[in-house]
Amino acid sequence: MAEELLNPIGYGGKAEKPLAPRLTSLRGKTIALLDIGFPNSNVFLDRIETLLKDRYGVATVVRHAKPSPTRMVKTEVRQDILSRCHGVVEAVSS
Amino acid sequence: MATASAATHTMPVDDPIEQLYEQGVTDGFPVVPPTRERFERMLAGAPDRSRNELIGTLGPCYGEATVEKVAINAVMAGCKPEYFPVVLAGVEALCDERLCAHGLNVTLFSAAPWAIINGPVRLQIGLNCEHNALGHGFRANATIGRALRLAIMNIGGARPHELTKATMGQPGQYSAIIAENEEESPWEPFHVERGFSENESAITLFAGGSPQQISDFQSRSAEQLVSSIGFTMGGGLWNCKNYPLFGDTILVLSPEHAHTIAADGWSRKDVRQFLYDTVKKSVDDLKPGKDGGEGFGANLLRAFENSGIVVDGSVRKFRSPQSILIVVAGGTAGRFSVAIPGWVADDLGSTPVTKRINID
Repeated sequence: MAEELLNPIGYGGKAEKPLAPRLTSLRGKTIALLDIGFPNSNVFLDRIETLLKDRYGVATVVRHAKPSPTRMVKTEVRQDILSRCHGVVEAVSS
Repeated sequence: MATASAATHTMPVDDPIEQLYEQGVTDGFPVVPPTRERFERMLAGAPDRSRNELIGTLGPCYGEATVEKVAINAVMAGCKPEYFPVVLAGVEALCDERLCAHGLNVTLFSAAPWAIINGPVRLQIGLNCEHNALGHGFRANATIGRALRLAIMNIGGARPHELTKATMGQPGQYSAIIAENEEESPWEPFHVERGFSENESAITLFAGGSPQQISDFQSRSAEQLVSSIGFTMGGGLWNCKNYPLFGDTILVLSPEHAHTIAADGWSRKDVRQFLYDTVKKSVDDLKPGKDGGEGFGANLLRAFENSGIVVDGSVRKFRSPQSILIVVAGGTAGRFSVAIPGWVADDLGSTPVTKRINID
């Protein structure tokens, strides 16, 4: 008979999560752009904002930033994105 | 009659080592099965700690590092119960937000939590700080670092190809322990500089990259030797044009090198200051050119000039004297030292964290 082995896992299961449902259209939506803090992220995201509004009819773009590339996004930022945005682009550049 | 090779195919399906592999809870090497008996023995190694005590939460998934969960992982790593207070202090450091375990375990930079261990605990539990100090062959060195890695994986949730995405990885990710050779050091122990007494034991975690060995057989004065070591560090850490470094640096001096330096009356502080002052390059040498596209572009140069990083047309390698952590370790024969470049430092990344090890 196999011996009982104790469970070493201390976090909530596998890290993989399913993707959220995809948006079928961006027209009239509110989209968050989250700058994760690498150099020139703002240049890249400025261009994304223009494209989202001009080409895809996004109504509002909300801009947020992480404290640095290595730090977690602040809870209030996460809550703001969850409460009023239909989607988020979390982006990097260099 | 079964041959030896056939026997490898008749492994019983309830082999606990194989079961643990299937559960994905190993670092790639076989682990010691965490039976209840072994678990209870491990807990007895830290009798003053409650088994339900929460040490902290450990990134990137912020699992709860309880004394119990850490004990299970310490069993799997092969630790003896007397190592357990060291592992607990190490996990406490991992859970300290200044270390930024979340970032160091998911960054593309191939970081490991290098652990510098000081104080009486080294000799009490048999940590090797002499020949092969950073290498293999010693249970305490091998398994304490491994227990931290298993805690990162199994409590922090950092698994390769899932959240852990280091481009290269490095051997130190299995175990990265530096026990200071205090007995052969000409200076006070490393942890005394960080506010502890010589009679206390402490563990310092540092988010570091791969070690670079630096040989110097011929320098016989402090200035010669530290110049030579600094010249090598100036070209080798991160990139030859990465001035100033994003991170802190550990310099592990061999006893022979340390004694050559101390014989001229130099302290650790003098070594740090000399490296800070002398390891620098001219801006012209740091521009992109025939030796590579990496380097100072016009925007970066302007920013550095405005912030005082460029001084008299040159840039220092180290951000400050304090960004160089100096430890003495290794055997008494051999003029080899080691430099370990850090991951990005301070608010951008990680700050070294020191915790007291609670032993009798």
